[in-house]
Amino acid sequence: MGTEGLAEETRPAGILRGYTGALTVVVVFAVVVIVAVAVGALNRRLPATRKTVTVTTAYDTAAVLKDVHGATLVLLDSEPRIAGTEYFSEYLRHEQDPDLPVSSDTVVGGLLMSDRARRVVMYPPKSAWGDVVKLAKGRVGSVTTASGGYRFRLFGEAVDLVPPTVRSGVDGPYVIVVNKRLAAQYDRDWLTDITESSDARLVVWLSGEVAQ
Amino acid sequence: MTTRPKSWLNAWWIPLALFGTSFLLRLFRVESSRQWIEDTVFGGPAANLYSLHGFIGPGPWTSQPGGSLLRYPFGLLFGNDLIGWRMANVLFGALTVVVVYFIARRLFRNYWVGLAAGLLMALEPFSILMSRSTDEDVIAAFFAALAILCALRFLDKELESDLALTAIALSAAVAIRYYMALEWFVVVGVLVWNRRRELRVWGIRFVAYFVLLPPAATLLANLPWLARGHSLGEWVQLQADLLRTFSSAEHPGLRDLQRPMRWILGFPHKTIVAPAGKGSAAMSVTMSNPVVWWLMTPGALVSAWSAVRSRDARRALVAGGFFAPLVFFLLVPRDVMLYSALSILPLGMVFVAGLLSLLRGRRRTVALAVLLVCCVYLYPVVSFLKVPLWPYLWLAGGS
Repeated sequence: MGTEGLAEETRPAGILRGYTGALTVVVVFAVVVIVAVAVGALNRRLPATRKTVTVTTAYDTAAVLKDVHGATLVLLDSEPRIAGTEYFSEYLRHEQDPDLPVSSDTVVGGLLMSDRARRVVMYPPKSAWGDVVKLAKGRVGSVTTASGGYRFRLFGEAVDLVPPTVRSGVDGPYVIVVNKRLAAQYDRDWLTDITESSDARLVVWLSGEVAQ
Repeated sequence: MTTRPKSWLNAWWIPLALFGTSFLLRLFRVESSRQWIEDTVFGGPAANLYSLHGFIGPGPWTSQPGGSLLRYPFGLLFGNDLIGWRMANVLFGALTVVVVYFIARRLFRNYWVGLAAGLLMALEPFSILMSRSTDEDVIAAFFAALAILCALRFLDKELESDLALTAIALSAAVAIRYYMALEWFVVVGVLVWNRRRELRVWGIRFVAYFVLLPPAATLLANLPWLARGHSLGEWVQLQADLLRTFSSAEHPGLRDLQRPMRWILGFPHKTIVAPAGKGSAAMSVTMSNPVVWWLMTPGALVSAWSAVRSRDARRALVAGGFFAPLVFFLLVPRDVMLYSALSILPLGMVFVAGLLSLLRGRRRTVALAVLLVCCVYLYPVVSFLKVPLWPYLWLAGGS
């Protein structure tokens, strides 16, 4: 009786007796979920109020955006780059030769490489949308979204191509990049609506020369 | 006291010798860049890019990043070059041989079957070649095999530690390759069925280990990506996109299933018509390796038959567990053989060893050996393929 009684007493009491392993797993799972939620939230940094800046190079953009991290980038583009790696190659090309003119691809590549932005939403103008659809068809990895836009992947990041007719507002804490050429191609009122009536915390006007 | 090291050596010298042999065979010319699978050129950079910056790429975004994290330390240790990129596969490929030895030994309760399975796996050129690649499926296949071994131990000994190890290995396999989740269904199904009368005891443990651990491991592997500022909701969206991408693709595998004969003969065919290129061509020839298919098919059929006939949970676990990931490749338009072969290759080797053990008498053994050799050389004739060059590829070095 003696030894059996002692053994019983030293065991954990209650309904959890014998479930140490299972409990450990529950705790591990909870910790991992908390860390997964926290690590993303802690690494997102945007200006508290909306800021509008004008830059001329990708490097200037990165310097201006030093307080920004993990934002979604809204790119108003007339030539949708479905092959996302072109952003990176354009940026790297520019790094090799800083005299090259800055294009919107250079800026996007810079933002992504410096981790200022991690997802791209593109607004091609109406006139370019036909080409987007044509290019998108048959491309491996493309996903047709419910909104009518197309979603691609750029190094694991989503590239949403959204026609202005489908979504005309920016409703998140985004970074918007507009360049001179694009500004000329878009309807000015629509562009103003996008930048001013949105919740975007940062609007970047790129006024440098644009590569063709 | 003095007998302890000796008894330890007696118990472990075979697995150690198998590991050493397998490791050296896989290490041989690992630095060669004469031939490679396409993944080689971006496998290493992808490991660095993901581990240091959380970028998923430059490989396909549909790949799970768990393997990149595992491969990254090997680059640090052995250099940021072909050797460093491939060393993880050399190690895990050699470890898979040891695991296969233990699975076969435990399954057939026969030392010689274990040794035969280990040797077959150690010398199999396809396994060697893939272990010289940077493809993460080699690592996933190791964890899948380890999960099977631990589950077998659990069925035999009913220890909670084995259950925990099964779940940990399975979770690691799933975090590296999602298609390993299909093995999850088989392993959990067999274990629950086997312990159906004791679910009050094991139920909570099953839920804790098999429901919570796999997503925890997958999330853990995705932390570098999440650390770039992504939310958990975006991660779920990414996984949903991934599934949608796969489900919206063509299903040539199902078409093949409708034609059983072509299915059997045409399996390697699929990869023979792989895209042109040095690496692809070499890979195609390797994957058409008839030794694999003509040895494995009878082994697998006999094992399935015996598992059903004997209602043996252990055999069902091994057969089903290894075959389950293959189902994924029948549903998506991928190079079926490249990945599924790695998953079911250990199975084939285990059961071929078992099949050989069924033969008693020298005549039957010789007859089987002759048959298999004929299969090896007749296979290219019946399937109109060129003679496979696997011995050349084996010796030639890198994959």
